[in-house]
Amino acid sequence: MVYYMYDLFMNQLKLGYAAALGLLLAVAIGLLSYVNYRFFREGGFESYT
Amino acid sequence: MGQASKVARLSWLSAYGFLLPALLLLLVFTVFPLILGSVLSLFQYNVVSPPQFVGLNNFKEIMTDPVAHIAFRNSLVYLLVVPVLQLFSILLALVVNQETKGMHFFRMLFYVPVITSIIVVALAWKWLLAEQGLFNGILMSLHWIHEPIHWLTDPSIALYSVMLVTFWKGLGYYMVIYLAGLQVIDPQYEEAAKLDGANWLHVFRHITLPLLKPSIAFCTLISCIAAVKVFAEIYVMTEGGGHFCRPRPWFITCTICS
Repeated sequence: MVYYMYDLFMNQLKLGYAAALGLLLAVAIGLLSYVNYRFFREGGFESYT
Repeated sequence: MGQASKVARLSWLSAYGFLLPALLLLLVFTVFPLILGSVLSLFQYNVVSPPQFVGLNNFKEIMTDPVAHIAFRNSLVYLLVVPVLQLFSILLALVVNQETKGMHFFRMLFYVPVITSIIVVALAWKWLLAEQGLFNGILMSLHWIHEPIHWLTDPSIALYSVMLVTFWKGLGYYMVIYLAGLQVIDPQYEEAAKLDGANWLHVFRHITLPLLKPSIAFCTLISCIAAVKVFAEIYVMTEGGGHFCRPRPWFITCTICS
């Protein structure tokens, strides 16, 4: 995915399209981090131990 | 102003004073590019002509772009490296957690790939996995294969070859985190379990693994993020594979201008 973004940006000069892909990736990573944060804040595995 | 509020104010100021450099760096290198990228995603822009506002067209295009779908699928496939990496890191951490003579040397040895530059690692593996490289040489000398395997040029196995490098480089890093997790586990739990007749597997399944769960969750998360945004290995070893064999206008432009 990141290599495709790089190719779009540097070789195909589709800067806007590459930015859109990057934004989607950032949102996906943000969601993943948020789920992890909420899970740990609410006890998560600590409550197990 | 009372003494207590003066102390609180000083404490507040010193806390934000220490946070300020990191916050500034975060603002300049993360928040600002994210905002700029978000704005740019609404435009069609190719450096040469002025940007043209296209709204959400770029996002619509992603939905119908077959190469984006392949890239997305490959990113998902790349996530397969995460469970394998975590499993082997835990096993390795269990091994190096033993109080045996010379174990510190092995801990250091397994950490060497982590501190080695990814470009150096990728180049070394590129040579190892080349058609005339060490891997094919060994396999052919053992007569296990008769023709060299195209580790990095065959689209069906190139991704897995690159995953192998990510696995090799990440092993030591996650091993250290799991080792830290293992060393905070109170040995009394294990001793009590052994007194009750538990074997090595029982201790691992019912004591070590549950107590390692916070470390496993953390490592899985950062490993997933790293796997999704992998770039250097792919760039150095395969240059994106067959999909990206096209002229490079940016490079050509730079060459002409220089």
